Parts: sequence; C-alpha cells; structure tokens
Amino acid sequence: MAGLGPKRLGKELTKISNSLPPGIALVSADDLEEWFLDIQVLDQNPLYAGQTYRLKFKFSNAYPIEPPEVTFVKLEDRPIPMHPHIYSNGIICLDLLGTQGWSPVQNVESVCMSLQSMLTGNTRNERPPGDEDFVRGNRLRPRDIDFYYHDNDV
Amino acid sequence: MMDSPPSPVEASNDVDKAAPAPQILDTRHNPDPEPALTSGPPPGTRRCFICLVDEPEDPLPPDWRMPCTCTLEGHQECLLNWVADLEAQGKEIKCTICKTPITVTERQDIAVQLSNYMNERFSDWSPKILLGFLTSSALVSSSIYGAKAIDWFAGPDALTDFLLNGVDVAAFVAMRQGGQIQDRNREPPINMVHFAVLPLIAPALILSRLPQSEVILIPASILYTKLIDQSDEDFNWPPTIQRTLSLYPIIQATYGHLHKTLSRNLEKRWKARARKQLEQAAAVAEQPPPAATEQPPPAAAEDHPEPAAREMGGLHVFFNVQFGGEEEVNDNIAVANRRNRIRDPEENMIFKYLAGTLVWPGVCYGLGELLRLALPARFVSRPAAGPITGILQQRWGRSLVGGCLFVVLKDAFYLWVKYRKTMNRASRHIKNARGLNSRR
Repeated sequence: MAGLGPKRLGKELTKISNSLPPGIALVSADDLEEWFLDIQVLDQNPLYAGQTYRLKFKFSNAYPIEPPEVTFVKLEDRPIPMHPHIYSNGIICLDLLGTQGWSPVQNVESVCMSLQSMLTGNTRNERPPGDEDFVRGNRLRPRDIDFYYHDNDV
Repeated sequence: MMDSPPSPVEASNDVDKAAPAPQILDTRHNPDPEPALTSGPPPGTRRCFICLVDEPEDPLPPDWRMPCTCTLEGHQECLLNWVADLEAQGKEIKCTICKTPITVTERQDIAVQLSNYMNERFSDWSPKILLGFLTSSALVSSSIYGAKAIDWFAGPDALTDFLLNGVDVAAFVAMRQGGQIQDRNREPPINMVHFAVLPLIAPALILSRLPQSEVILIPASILYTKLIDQSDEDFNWPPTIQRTLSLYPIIQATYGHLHKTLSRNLEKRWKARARKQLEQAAAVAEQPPPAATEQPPPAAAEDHPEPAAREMGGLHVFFNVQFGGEEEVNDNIAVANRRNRIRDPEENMIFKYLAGTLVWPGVCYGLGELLRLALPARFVSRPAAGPITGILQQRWGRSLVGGCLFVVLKDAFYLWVKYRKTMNRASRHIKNARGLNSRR
C-alpha cells in the first residue's frame, strides 16, 4: 500500500500549515518527502534561550508505519543544539525515532514537541560520548543506527 | 505523568510515556486555544490513527475497526499494514497507547494451522534434538577415548579381552570364514558392562586428578572390590590388573598427602635459608667492596634438595599410582605466586589440566616402553614357560609403573625448580642502564 504515506502526509501538512503549537514553525514542505521545521525552546533554559533550530524530516513511502528520519540541520543562524543525545552532525538519539520506539500514533507535530521537551529538560552542556568518532566514522542512516539507550539520568 | 513537566528521560527512554502526543501537548500547558492536530477529529467524525483521515461517525465505513477498548481506531487496511510491519519486526501486536494486546483473526485454514502447530512443536523440540546430538557425540568420543586409553595403557589385546569377554577373536573370525560355524548370526560375546564403562574412563581420569578426589574414589574402589571383583581373596603376586587398579585411589591419596607435607616442609626450610642468604648479602653489601651481591647462592646449597626429593621418589616408586601429586605442586605454586610473586600467573590452567589428564595413558605407555627398553629382559618379558612372575612382564604393569615413575620424577623436578627459584631470589638485583654507568 504505497499510497498510505502521501495520503497521511497530505493530511498532516494541511493541519500544520494552519496551526502549530508555540515554538514550532513550518519552514518548507515542497514535496511529500522532505520537510523543514524550526523549533525553539520556550522557557528560559540558558542552553537554548534565544536560539532557533532547524529540523529536517525525511519520509519514506511507508510512513507512518516506519518512522521519519529526523535530524537537526546546521545553517548560519541555525546551530545544532547542545545535548547529550544530539551528535554534532545533527543526528538525534531518541528512541521515539527508531524502529523500536516509533508508532504510527506519532506525527510530525508530536515529534517536534518531543524534541522541544527533550531540550527543555536538559541541563548538561555536552555532546554524546564518542561524538567526534561517531561524526567522523558514521555512514549509516540515522534509523539504522543502533543507539544504546543507556544513560537514564539525562 | 499528566501533572509533571516532561523531561527528556521520558522522551528518550520511555516509549510508554513519550508515545501519545496529546499527553505531551497537555503537559506543556499549551496556551494555544486552537485545537492541535492530535487533539481529535471534528465533532461527528472519527479519525484513523494511521492515515489521519476523518470518517463520518454515522455511518462508519464498513472497514472501520476498533481493536482496543481505548481510543485506538482506524481503517482495516491501515491497521493491517501496521500489524504486518510489527510482525515483520517480530514485535508484539498491541495497542500503542494502552499496550493491550490486539487480536488478529483470519479464516480458519487447516493448512495454516497445521503449519503453525508444526512450527511450534519443532521449536520446542529443536533444543532437545541439538542437546541429544551434543550428548551423543560427547558419549561417542568419550567412548572412543576410553577404548584408546585402554589400548595405550594395557595394549590392544587387553582391550579386546576387556570388551569381548576374553574370546579369541582371530580364531572366531577364522572359524566363521571357514564355515565351521553354521549360525551366521552369532556374534562374539560382547561384554556390555565393560562397553558401558568405556565412556566413563575420561571423566574418571579427570575426577581422579581433582583435589580431594579420594573422598569419592576410595569408597568407590572398596565397593568395587567387595561387590564386583569376584577373584579369590588371597593376595597373589603378581596382582591382577583389577586388584591393582582398585588399590590405586588409596595409594594415590597416600602419595598426594605425603608429597604435600614433604614439599611444604621443604619449602619452609628453603625460604628460611633464602632469607638468611639475603641478610648475609645485605651485610656483605655494607662492606666497602660490594662484590658478593653478584654471586649466585653457594654451590653447596644447591645439592641439598635433590637427594631429598629423590629419596622421597625412591620411597614410593613401586607403589605409587597417583595423579594427585601435580595438583599439590600447582597449589603450592599458586600460593607462592601470591606471596612471593615468583612465578607468572598460571594461564589456561583448566585447559592444561584437562589436556594433561587426557594424554596421561599415553604418557604411561611411553614410560612403560622406556622401562621395557631400559631394564633387563628377565624383568620385562614374559617367561617362555610358566606363569608370569612380575608386574613388569605385562604391558599394563609397565605402564602403571612408568606412570608412577613419571609422576614422581615430575614432582621431584618441580620441587627442584621451586628450590632454585627460592634460592635465586637472593641474587636478584636491578640492572643499571648502560648510559648511566658510562657517565659515572
């Protein structure tokens, strides 16, 4: 059933073009494969205050059965947020976005909100352990990486 | 969860809590009055949770499914797609919101049911089948080893005797080929008890080298003598192989304890002597000419332990049948390691130990053959006429004595090595780097 993704994405796009929660903005959705959204952290977390971050969503045909590929994108005015689960190349370690944690009840908006709250609650100004090696060596797509969800204190 | 602000722990580590988007929305106390995407369909409609298409409530489309008591609902096709994906990943099929299992039914089909049943059965059986294979292959190889061990130790004829109740196989086969035996189905009388014993030989050898093995082996051998060994009670010379082997554990244990005591005492004495030497060396070093520190320990001291060890070996050489001695040595070495760090830590102890045990019958045979070559023929070959007069005239006897000799010599050698190590510690010193020396 190849038509499922486009149909659902069309629905989602209609919806988020009209309204989005505060701190989340649609930047572009030129087709049904790749969307860009901006997110901000609304409270006064000093790590993220005043910053805007650019998210890239890539959808496969099997969306929403399969998770979208969500990464932060680095631009001149859009840094990669500092977080122990976000690598400096923008890859996000969030089990919601892996095949294990994903479920079709999630959608673009809920993913954005999860990322917002993931940043809101963080107090550690650091990258994941092994960030440099990972950024240099990784050739896998984010969804194929087996992240090891180990640190429960972040 | 609804009252506390979400933290990334929940978002990143806990699907259960992070999954339903509406909850996250609520916890953020969203001031936006507009209904969010996930806040629910317009009144009078239901929304498929997968394709997000809103369908009129009255009437619902014919393929609308509500698989769970909670709010999960959607088109049959969407849901089936999702279920197929879950199945492909080997995940459980349950509601993503409340985790209640979702039931998928399909048409009753005998072929499918049969296949499922067989699959289930087979996955039950497969570990048992594999275990069976492993067990039987262990049994077979251990039997082959047992036969080989007897072959080495006592010779091929003894092996045939052991397994076939002493029938002359060559004659039997010749007779059968000559057609003198009409009944072609008759087989040589196989001793099934002895066949059953074969696979136990390797475990018994291993057991016999364990420390404190005599706790099991001595009662077992006494039991054997009382119950199974029906030969006459008088002790004849030369003893039978059964009688000798049933005495074996007692002798082994005796030797083991003697060796342990002896080596412990010797070591204590050597350590004292080494300490004295160190003190002497230190005293000499304080004198102006520092020559004595480089000297090896006095030659006189080196000669002492060897006679001691030899004496011990000589005492038992004809009676000892033991595997236990080496354990004691190793134990003591381990102790010495900890205390004095004389030796590198023993690595792969267990493998060395097992391999050593399993080649043991071969070693016995080798030493037995050496005995045969070394001793006068009168002792080591059968008399041309009359009964056997000595234990060494049979292969098993030579192997036995050879094995004992080996153990005793080996123990003596290890003791000797330990002695040397203890003594050499007095002469240890750190070497100066050459560059420093030349600068001086």
